[in-house]
Order: sequence, then C-alpha cells, then structure tokens
Amino acid sequence: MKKNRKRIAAVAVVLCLVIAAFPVSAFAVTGDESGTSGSTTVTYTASPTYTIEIPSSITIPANGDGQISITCSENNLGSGTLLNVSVDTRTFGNDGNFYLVNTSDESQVIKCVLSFNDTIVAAQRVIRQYRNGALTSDLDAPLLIRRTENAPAAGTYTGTIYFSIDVTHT
Amino acid sequence: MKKYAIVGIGSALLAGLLVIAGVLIGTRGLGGSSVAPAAEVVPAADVVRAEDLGEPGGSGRIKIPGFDSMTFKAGQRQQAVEFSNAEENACYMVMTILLPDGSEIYRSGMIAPGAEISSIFLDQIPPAGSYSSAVLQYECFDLDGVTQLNGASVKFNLEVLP
Repeated sequence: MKKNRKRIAAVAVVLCLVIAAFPVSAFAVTGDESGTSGSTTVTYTASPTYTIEIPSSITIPANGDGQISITCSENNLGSGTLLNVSVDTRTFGNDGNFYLVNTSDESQVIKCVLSFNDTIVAAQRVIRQYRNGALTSDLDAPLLIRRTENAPAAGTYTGTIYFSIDVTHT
Repeated sequence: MKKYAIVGIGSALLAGLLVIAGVLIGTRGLGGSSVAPAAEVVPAADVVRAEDLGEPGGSGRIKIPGFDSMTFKAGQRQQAVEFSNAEENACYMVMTILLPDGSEIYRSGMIAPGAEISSIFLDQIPPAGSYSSAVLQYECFDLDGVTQLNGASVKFNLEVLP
C-alpha cells in the first residue's frame, strides 16, 4: 500500500513537470483597467484599399496608334473620395516628349506623344478618375501612344510608361 | 529505491526536452519570416509565366495594389506592411518607398508573382510625423528579370507614430 502511494506520488510529480513545460499564452489587458501599467509591442499594418490594372506592355501597330487600357478592379475607398490616375513625370524626357529607344542602339529613338481626348497629355494630367469607390471611371476617353516621326532605322523600340495614382478626399 | 531514481531521472529528461522544444518554437516561430532582403528574389509557390496567360511576350495586365495610407512605428527599422505581387501578374515587382522630398527609405528585392511581404526593414528611419505625399513606387520586370515593363507610383499618406 505504501509502495503504491509512492508510485502515485512519482507519477504525479512527472505529470506536474510535463504540464509545467508546456508553453503558455499571455494576454494583455486592454487598457481600461485602472491601476494597471505595463508595455506592449504594437504593430501597424494597412491593407491595400484599391487595385488599378495597367498594361504590362503595349504593341504599337506599324501604321496607327497604340492604345493604353487602364482599369480599376477593386475600390474600397468609399464616399467622398476621388481615385485619380495620371501619367507620371518619369515617363517623359526633359523636353516633355515620350521616346521609344532602339533595343540594340540607344542613339536611335522615335519621338512620340501620349494623346487623350485629342490633346497631348502632359505629366500629371488625370486620365482616369474613380469617384466614391466606383469601378467605372468618370473619364473614359482612350489614352493613345502616337508617333510623331518614323523610325530612323529598323529594329525593336521600347519605352516605359509610369502611371501616377493618388487619392483626394472631397 | 532504484525504481524511484530511474523514474526521477526519466521525468527530468522528458521535462528538459519539452522545455528545449518550447524555447525553439518560441524563438523561431511556427511560420517563416517574409522579409525581403534587397536584391533577392522573393519566391512564390507557383510562379506564373507569361505564356501561361496565353499572352506571349508578357503583354498582359499588371495589378497595382494601392494604399490610401500607411502607418509606421517611429524609431524602428522593422515595420509591418501588406505588400504583395498578385499571382495573376506575369512579372516581378520592385517596390520602393519615397518620402515627399524624394529620399528613399526602403527598396525591396524582386518580388515574384504570388509572393507577399508582411514585414520590411527600412534603410532610413523617418522621424515621427505625417507625410502627406509619400510614394510607393512599383517597377515591373518581365519574368526574365531584365526587360522593364510599365510601372506605377502610388501616392499615400504615411503616418509615423511615436
């Protein structure tokens, strides 16, 4: 009988040791408790509030303009907001023109303009505007790439268009 | 007596192993870190290739996630974010954060389609304050990692809280 008690005591000690080794979660008090003090690490995150879709590349036909399609596939901005898309200043050269550069000879370029509603697009000109969380733009005229001169030599010419996106609160 | 000694030693060893396992789980965590060191490719489980989208040459669409505002904690390099490159994007993305004066405070490595970044290390820690026209720049590259594609700049309000 005495032997059994000792065995039970030994098993109980082992159980206590095993339970004590398990990790325990600690919960912070939410702040309104009076008479408590302490510190906690706070992390801040912000989820994306909208998604604008741009073309990864645009092919310009031999005789004609290249068309740039911009759409909004997600907009959680809500009322009192304007989501604006414009062409970023990085797109343009120092003279305000957009250039396509020959991939095998950088000295060979084609001068182009970006056209919206039959007017030449300057940097920061708004070309799409989504109001109050809408997915349809108030401005829907096509944005075009138009060559103003012919290619100086045969080859492949490339350029990069950057879009600037911002939100204004009305 | 001998039996008790064996039980005691056994239980002590078991408890020790459990403590070590607990410490390892606590320090390393159960999930991996998703910090993107500069100039490294952040891999995704399944990289989408341009040809998979039926659009040879990567002439598809690029989804640009936009932020109206972002909040950082002042005085620390590590910040929590929700940056991602959509799985449908047939391109790598490099994300850069610029303050309104143009100074660069963060630049990611090449982020693969489907990859997400939940934590970043700033190159420069901005002082506490409100930066109303901070910029998150997206530079996009074809899946060859060389050919540059069209990109975007997202203006947002950066709050750096003390």
